[in-house]
Amino acid sequence: MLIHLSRIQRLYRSDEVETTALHDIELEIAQGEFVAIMGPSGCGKSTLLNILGTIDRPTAGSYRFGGEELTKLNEAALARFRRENLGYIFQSFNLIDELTIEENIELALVYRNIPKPERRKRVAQAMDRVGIAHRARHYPSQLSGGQQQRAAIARAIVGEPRLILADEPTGNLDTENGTQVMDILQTLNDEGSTIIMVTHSPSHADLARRRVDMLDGQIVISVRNVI
Amino acid sequence: MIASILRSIGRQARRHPLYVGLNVFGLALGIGVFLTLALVVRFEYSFNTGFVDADRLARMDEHWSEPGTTPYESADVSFRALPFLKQDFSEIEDGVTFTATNLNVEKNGQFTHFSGRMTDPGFFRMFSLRLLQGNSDTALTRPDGLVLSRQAAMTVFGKPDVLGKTVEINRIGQKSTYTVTGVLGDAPSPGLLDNVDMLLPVPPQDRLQRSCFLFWASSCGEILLKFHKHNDIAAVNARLSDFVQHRASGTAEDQISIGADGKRVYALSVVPLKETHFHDSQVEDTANSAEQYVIDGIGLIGLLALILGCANTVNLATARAGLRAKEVALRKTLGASRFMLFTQFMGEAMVFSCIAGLSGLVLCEICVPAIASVTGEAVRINYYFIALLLPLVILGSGLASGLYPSLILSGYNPASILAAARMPACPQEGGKQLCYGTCWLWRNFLSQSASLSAH
Repeated sequence: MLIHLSRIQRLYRSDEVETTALHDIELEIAQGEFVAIMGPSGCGKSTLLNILGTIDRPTAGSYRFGGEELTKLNEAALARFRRENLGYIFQSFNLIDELTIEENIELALVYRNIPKPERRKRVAQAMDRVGIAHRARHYPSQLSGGQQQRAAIARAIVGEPRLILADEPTGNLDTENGTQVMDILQTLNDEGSTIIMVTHSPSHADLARRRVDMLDGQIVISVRNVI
Repeated sequence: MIASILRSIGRQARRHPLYVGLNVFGLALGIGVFLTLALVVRFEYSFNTGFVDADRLARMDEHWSEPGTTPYESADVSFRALPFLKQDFSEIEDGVTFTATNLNVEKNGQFTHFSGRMTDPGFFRMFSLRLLQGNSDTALTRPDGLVLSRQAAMTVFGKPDVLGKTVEINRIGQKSTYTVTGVLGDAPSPGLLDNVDMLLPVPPQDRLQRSCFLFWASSCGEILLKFHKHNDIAAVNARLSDFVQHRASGTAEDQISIGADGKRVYALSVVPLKETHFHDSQVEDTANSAEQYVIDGIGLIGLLALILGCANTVNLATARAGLRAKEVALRKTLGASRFMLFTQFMGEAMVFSCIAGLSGLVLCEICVPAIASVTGEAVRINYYFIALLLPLVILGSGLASGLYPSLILSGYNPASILAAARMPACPQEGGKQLCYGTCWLWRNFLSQSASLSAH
């Protein structure tokens, strides 16, 4: 099993209010799975994704990745875990405006101490896979939303991560571009990538191999799709 | 890492030239003003410090407090004290008289004015000064001996190689012929020998006839002393009252002494030569003095300019932190550790500081000659001093201007930032409003700055 979440809780505390974002989450995800997480706004989808991506810590519970307990790691170890194992795709693409598309994608490799020629080679391959090689020297503002999201996917896959986390990757795209993005994700999954995707779109969730429904910080349904 | 920092700065300069320009200009202005005023302060503090054994050199001052008059301190003293000082205080290694005099040299029917000092033969030995030409031990032993500055030699003879040549000098209406026995090179400056063109021995008849050599109540120049140890200055000062009573007091009819109870109206003190520049603001018959609090104030203004330059950089960097929050969150999700980001941002601050430091040096190059011209002080850029100071200023400015924004930026929580990026209004984290992390940050910074200003 690649991922094992056990009794994960996430509480947000302020001076006056304590809010439970996640409550006793139990989830197992195998290597090569494509899991879609659905649910209404505020149900804890993104919080769960953040915890899976180790950019947020659970208040309680256990998160094991490839057999390693991650909740005990310090910030530096988690940063190392992220750069070696994870790829992120965001709804709003989150490309850095000051960098070219090529540089944005390369950023995922910069912190791994990979030599520059090797980085360039991998970036070229990743851009070819998502069909934006001709936009390499452009800045994000010069690209359409669909192209930006493809660039973001290239950034997520360039490091060949063990897990790709996608937070509403089609949320800001029109139908055609959304379909293209889903096609790319499906292809990546077919090639062996493990993907966890948060989405509001039932049709896109149906393209995943498993669908997890959340409500009020809890997983209420976990079903395998027939593809 | 360095390449990445330089690329980042290059990108910022391309994409945000106004930000980079203001950042560098503000800090460069602060550093430029600081360097300029630091040079001025250093100059004012360096009077008479260039002499060998400067710590052991001092000047004798006298204090008068006669009934019905305002008490005053004077650097011009009675030379009658000198032989008694040498006799009574074993702490004194050497001592000379030092009297300013105006000299005129006639050349081709025209008089050229020179600033001269009459002193004793031991002057060069006491100040450990070596002559470009001539023997410093004997240059002032003969009554017609004359030591010229190199510039005076050039003015009078048109060349520095003038040993043995004679000069006719008109001093207080009397013409005398002097023989050049020495040429003085660059004397330690600023200090005692600034603008001194010629040094000549005290005329023998002066020692016999001039009142300041004979009477305690008459004065005509300075007594300069050299002590065996620096601490001897204070030790001698403590015993000068008894010295005055013993040596300067006499009877009411006595013309040589200052009366029956001399120490009631007359006192002597020894002032370390290094302190005379500031001390002389309270002393009569002195030139080229400065108030120490004014100089310290100028130094403080320089320091404030540097702090303001740094604050401006912190201000701009903090204001812009909001724009970089998404970048930070993204870099963290891609695996950058806090240390990596901190190093990146501190590196950028250091490079900005380096650029500003060099720009500040250019500003200093422009300002220092202007200040020297306006004030008439011989302030100039000392590159050895700058080479020591500028790296420290760059390092300090880089740390001061980069530490706070770097700590804040590298400490952003990526989950909060990415959540904020999706929300239309400022979200909350731990009771603090985020808006890409800037709202509370900016407010905190401004409130802290306001608090600092208030103090």
